[in-house]
Amino acid sequence: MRKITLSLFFLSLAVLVAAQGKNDRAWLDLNQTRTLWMASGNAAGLAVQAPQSFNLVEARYDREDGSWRPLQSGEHTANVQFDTQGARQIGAVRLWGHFCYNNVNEKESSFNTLLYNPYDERFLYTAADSVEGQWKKQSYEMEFKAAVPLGERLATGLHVHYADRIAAGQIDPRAESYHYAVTVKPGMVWKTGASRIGLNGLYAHTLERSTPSISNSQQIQKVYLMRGLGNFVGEQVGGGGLSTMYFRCNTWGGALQYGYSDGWQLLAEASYAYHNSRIRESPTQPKPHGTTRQEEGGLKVQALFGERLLHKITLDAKLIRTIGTEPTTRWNTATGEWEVRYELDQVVLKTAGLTLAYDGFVLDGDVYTWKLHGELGWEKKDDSYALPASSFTYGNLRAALGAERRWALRKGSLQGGLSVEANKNLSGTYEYQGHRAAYAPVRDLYPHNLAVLAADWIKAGIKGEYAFPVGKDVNLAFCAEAAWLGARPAGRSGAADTGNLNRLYTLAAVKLYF
Amino acid sequence: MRIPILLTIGCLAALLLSCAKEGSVDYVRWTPVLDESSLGKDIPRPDSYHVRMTNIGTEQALEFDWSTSSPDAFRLVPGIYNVTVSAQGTTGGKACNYIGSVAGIEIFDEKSASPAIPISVSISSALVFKEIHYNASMVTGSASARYLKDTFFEVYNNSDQVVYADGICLGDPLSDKVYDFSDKLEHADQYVFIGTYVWQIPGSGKDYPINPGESFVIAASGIDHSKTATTVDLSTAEFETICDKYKEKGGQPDANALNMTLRCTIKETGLGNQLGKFTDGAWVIFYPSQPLRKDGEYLESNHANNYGQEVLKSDVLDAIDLLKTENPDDKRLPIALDAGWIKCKTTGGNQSVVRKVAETLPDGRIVLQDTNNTTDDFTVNDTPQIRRYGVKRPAWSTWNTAQ
Repeated sequence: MRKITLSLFFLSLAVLVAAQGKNDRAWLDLNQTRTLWMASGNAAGLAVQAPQSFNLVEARYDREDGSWRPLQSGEHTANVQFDTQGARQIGAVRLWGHFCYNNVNEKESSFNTLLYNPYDERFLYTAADSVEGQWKKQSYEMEFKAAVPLGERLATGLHVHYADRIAAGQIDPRAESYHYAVTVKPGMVWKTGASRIGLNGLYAHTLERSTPSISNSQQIQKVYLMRGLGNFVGEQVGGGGLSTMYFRCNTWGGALQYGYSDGWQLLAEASYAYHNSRIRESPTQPKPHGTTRQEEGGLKVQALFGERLLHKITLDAKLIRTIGTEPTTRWNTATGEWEVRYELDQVVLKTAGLTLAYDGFVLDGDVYTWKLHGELGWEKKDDSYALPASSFTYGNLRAALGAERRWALRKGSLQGGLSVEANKNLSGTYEYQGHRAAYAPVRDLYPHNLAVLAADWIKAGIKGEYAFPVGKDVNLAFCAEAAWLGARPAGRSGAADTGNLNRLYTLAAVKLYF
Repeated sequence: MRIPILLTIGCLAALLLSCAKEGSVDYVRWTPVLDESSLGKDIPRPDSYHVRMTNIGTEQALEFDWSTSSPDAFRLVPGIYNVTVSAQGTTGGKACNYIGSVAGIEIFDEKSASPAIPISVSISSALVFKEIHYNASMVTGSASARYLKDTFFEVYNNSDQVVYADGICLGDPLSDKVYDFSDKLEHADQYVFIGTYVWQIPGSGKDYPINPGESFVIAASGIDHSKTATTVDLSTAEFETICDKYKEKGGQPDANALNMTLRCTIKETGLGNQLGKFTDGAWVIFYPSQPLRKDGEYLESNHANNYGQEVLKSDVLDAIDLLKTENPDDKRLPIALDAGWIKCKTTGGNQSVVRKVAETLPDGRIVLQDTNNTTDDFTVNDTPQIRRYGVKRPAWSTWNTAQ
């Protein structure tokens, strides 16, 4: 009931904020590109620079098929999505709302027994199994931003995001997972001349509760309680084995923004978030499985300039470091509870990324006729486990180019685009020095994932969208996209010999712009 | 103004990211402390021990050879360890097994105080458990019906001397951590206490010789169970736990196997002739040097209505601890009888525990590993089988067909 009420609230907010607009992909794209503050973490920025009122309702079906994927992802994944967002001004209040529903069906994934998102490094102390299974996942993502001016120079804003996710494994060992996350970001912006200075806070609370089970009680299932980089402790599902797991995280942080607007626009944002997670088993006799401390830092600089030719340059840098602490626990028969006797910081996971992107638009009034996109990206992963010493690293350099053309038709518009993206692997290694080299997490999971992540690949895509009016200021659009990726693993030390890999991406969508 | 602000932002981000410390993790050095005081004067002290340590957090098992004359420290990941030390030697021409074990030693830094590991010694027995199937199987074609009648114990003559099976008893000891008889029996620590039944092989003393390299099988029921369940054919077992008392209950047919004598019914289970203990339990074979008590005269433990038949530890020929978890707190037997344990799948899993082969002699006879530590000496096998490794039947065991 709570979920339905919240969904209706956010959905109505997204629709209510709608107003008239030019209403096609190019117009909306440009509308959002021009408002640099929309992409910042500070909702108060809407008070100094808001998009024109718009509304978008979209139903889409997309799928991914192919062997280029980490083992925790499905060989085949299909997603039915309903997405709506809108922005408008009501009195002095600038509003933006967004609601998204996903229904994901994932087949032939493995090494994830419990989690909706097995790649969430905050929850690295989870369970994995080598059975290729099926997951059905649903998520409800709801958010809004609201900004209010407080006089000539000052504005305040609030960004709230709520996620409700449910996942159910379909093959033993299976699990039912319930994930809730709420994020609150209050912010302020101060205007002085052409400059704007913003500051926002961040608090988030995440809880995922996952209950493992087996359908066939005759077949107890072995699982691995993961400790990082292939280290694990043996456990079982069924027969009094693994109980309900609780993944809980509190996040604090904030961001500092500097904006400039005087014929051209600049927005620089430095952000920081600290995630403190605890993973426990069993509600009645809580057993600590580990804690993680994750720090996430980012620096994003965007510049927008030009009139007939609009240019946008974005520099995006991120640093993420996760430290995992393993407890040594023992059952205290006197108190009837698990007690932590010792803790060790065993895992350090580091991710660094830098992206430089260029977007160019040839303008024709409120829309564009051409959009060009270029991007250069670098990423580095450097994970290590202390004792026994193990490491998992890779580095990649990525380049992307794309072009989109919009044709104005007598009624409506047609937009088509081509893109190509290439990745060059620079380095990679998986080294495990523990005592379980012959077991599946070390033998299969990490070598396969290194082969995927440390690969040279090329991806080519094509997309098209046809929009036509169906009423006053209402456009209906049909969209289709396809992309193919071919990968050749770089043969790094410790990687599996997978041969060449590929993946096909397809998408079909119906949209309503109004 | 813009450049200073950008620089400020960048520096702030770098500062924040540099705040958190990465914990430093290092090995600790640890030296075992042994207590050999219980060995007495006549037993020689080993020059070195084999040390096996299992980190209960990571499940990593480490093994070292450790000299008592120049003891080295071990380099360990900090944690809680179960430690077992063992050594082999001889005295008076008989093999000695030295064993010591302590569970849950906390080794977090080099200042951690460690308890002394008490060392005991046992003289190797000629007769040892070779293979045990206790966790039942599934009825053929059924996904849910468990078949509980196919338990067997195979006992092997591991020596180079002829021994006799006559009078040997089989029983299931109670946990010495749970049941206490110290106020009922003097020197209770010298005994184990059987909690359910004592079955005894009949015979006058020399009726059932077991030559070196031969084994005999004690079956719950000596029939071909493979006709009913996905399990083993026990129609050539030498002994079965059938007696008049249970025949009356109509549990099983009386097969070719010789019927054992039900010497003690300490706690009647109502399971007919079945040996029970399908998920876990401890078992001993022993030759009683003292008369066994009569029914109704057993000692009551500290838990009311829980009785035990005392058996001198020195009478025990072999003992094995079968657990349902990896938790050593569930162990029933004292370290002196079995320093380790083993576990199978739950009821219906149709597995057996099998003793490892230590060596094969030139004449083809195998010698089984017997270090008094089930964790080391046994493995779990998915296909129960009697007389594995081509082991011979005794000459007097001649029946070949199921009744």
